[in-house]
Amino acid sequence: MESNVVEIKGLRKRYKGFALEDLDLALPAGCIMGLVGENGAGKSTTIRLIMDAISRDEGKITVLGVDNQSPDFLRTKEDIGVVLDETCIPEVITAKQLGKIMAGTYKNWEQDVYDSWLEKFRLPPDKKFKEYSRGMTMKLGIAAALSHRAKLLLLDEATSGLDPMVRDELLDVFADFAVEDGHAVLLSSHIVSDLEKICDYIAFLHKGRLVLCEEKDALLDRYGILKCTKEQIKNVPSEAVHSMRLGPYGAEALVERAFMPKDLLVERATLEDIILYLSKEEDQ
Amino acid sequence: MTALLRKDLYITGRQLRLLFIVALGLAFTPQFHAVGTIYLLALSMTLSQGSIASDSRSRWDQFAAMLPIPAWKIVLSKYLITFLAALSMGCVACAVSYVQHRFLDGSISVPLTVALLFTVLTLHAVFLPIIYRLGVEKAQIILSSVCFGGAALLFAGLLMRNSGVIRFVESVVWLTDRSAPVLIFGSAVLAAVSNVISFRLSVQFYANRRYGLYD
Repeated sequence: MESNVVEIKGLRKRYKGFALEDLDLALPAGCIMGLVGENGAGKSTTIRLIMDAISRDEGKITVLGVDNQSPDFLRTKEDIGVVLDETCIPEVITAKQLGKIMAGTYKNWEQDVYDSWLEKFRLPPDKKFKEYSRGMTMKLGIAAALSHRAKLLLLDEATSGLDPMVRDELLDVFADFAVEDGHAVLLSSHIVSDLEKICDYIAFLHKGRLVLCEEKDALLDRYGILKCTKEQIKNVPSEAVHSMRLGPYGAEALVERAFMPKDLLVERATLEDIILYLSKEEDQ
Repeated sequence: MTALLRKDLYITGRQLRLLFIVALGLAFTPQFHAVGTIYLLALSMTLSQGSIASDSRSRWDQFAAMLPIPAWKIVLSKYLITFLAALSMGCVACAVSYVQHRFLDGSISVPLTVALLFTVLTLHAVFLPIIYRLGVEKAQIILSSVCFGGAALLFAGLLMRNSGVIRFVESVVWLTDRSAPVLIFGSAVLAAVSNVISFRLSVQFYANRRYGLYD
C-alpha cells in the first residue's frame, strides 16, 4: 500500500472574512501534488497549517507519519523543506551567510550540496539578499530547502512572478526531487500550466473549500470541452455539463466524457479549462 | 542557538558598530561624558530590539516557524545576544568610566557604571515582553514615548534646583561612593529576577503571536 506523506482530515481555520472549511487531503509518497486556486483561496493557509505555524480551529494533520501538533513534529521538520511565497530572509544577509545560519539549524545540512545549488542557480554567494531579483530570491529559498536531505518539499507560490525560463528550470528541479524514493512535493500555485506540467495530483481550492483532489491524468480523462451549437447543447444530458458559456455563434461547455453521447465531438480539456469552468460552476 | 546568534549579529552588526563609535565619541567629549557612558550601556538593549524589528520587517518569524527551532530558543537568542552585548559594552563602559573619573573629572564611577549596566538589563527585561505582546511597531511607539517622557522629566527635574531629582541623583552617587557593593548586588539581583520572569512571558507572547492568536 502506498503511504501518505501528508494527511489532512477535517481541517478548519476561520479568519475574519475567510474560512478554510472541512479540508481532507492526502499526498502519497513519490508524488507531486499541485494545490491550485485563486488568490486568497487558502493555499498559503493550508501550507502554514501543515507546518503548524498557525493555529487551527479543527482537524488533524499528519506529516511523514507524525501528528503535527505532537512534540515529535519539531524533529520531523528536519525532513521538510519549505519555500514561502516571500522568502522571508533578512535583506542584509548574503547567500553565504544564509548557508552558515542553516548549517546551525538543520542537523542534516549539507554545505557542499548548498554550494552546488548556488553554483547551478548562478547565485552570487556574497551579494546581499536585498540586491537579488525575485527569481534569485526564490532560487535561494529552494537551494536552502534542497540542502538538508528533506523528504517533503512544501512550496508556496515558488514559481509565481518568475519568467518562463526560470519557472521551467525550477519545475525540472522539483520533478527530479520527487523521483527519489519516499520523496513528495506539495506545490501551491495559481499558474495552472506549471502544475499541469509536473503534478501527479491536483487539489483545487476555491474560496476556502476543496472542490476536487484527484490524479491529474484521471482528471484530464474525465473532463472535456464541448464546442457546439446552442441547439446541440440542449440535447446533452444535464449531468454531463458542469459549466457552459453561451456565445452569439454557439456554446462551449466543460463536460464529463462518461455521460456524453457518442455523436458529439469532445475536445481535450487543459487543466486550466477544468479549473476555470469548475470555479465558475462553484460560483453559480 | 549559534545559528540564531549569528543571524542577529549579521543583521545588527553594522548598525552596532556605527552606534558604538558615536557613543565612544560622546563619552570622550567634555560635557557629554555621562551621556556617552549611558549610551554605550544602552546599546546592548538596542541590539535585540533592532533584531526583533528586522525579523518582523523581513517576516523571518514566519520562516522560523517552518524551521526545526522551538519558539523558546528564538526568544532565548534575543536575551543571550543582549547579555553578550551588555558584557562587552559593559567592559568598554567601565574602562571609559575609569578614564573619565580618574583623568577627565567625569561624574560616573566604575561601580555606578556596573549598577547602570544591570539597570539597563532590567529595563530590557521590562521592554522585551511588551514588544512580543504588542508587536514591534506599537511597542516602539509606547516605549519611545515612555523613554522620551522619562528623559524629559529627568531633564526638567535637573533644571529645577529644588526638585527631588537632583537629591535622588546625588543620593545614588553618594550610595555608590559609600556602599558600591550593596548597589551593585541589589541591581544585579533585580536584573536577574526580572530577566527570568521576562523570559517566561516573552516565550509565551512570542509563541502566541507567531501562532496567530493575537490577530
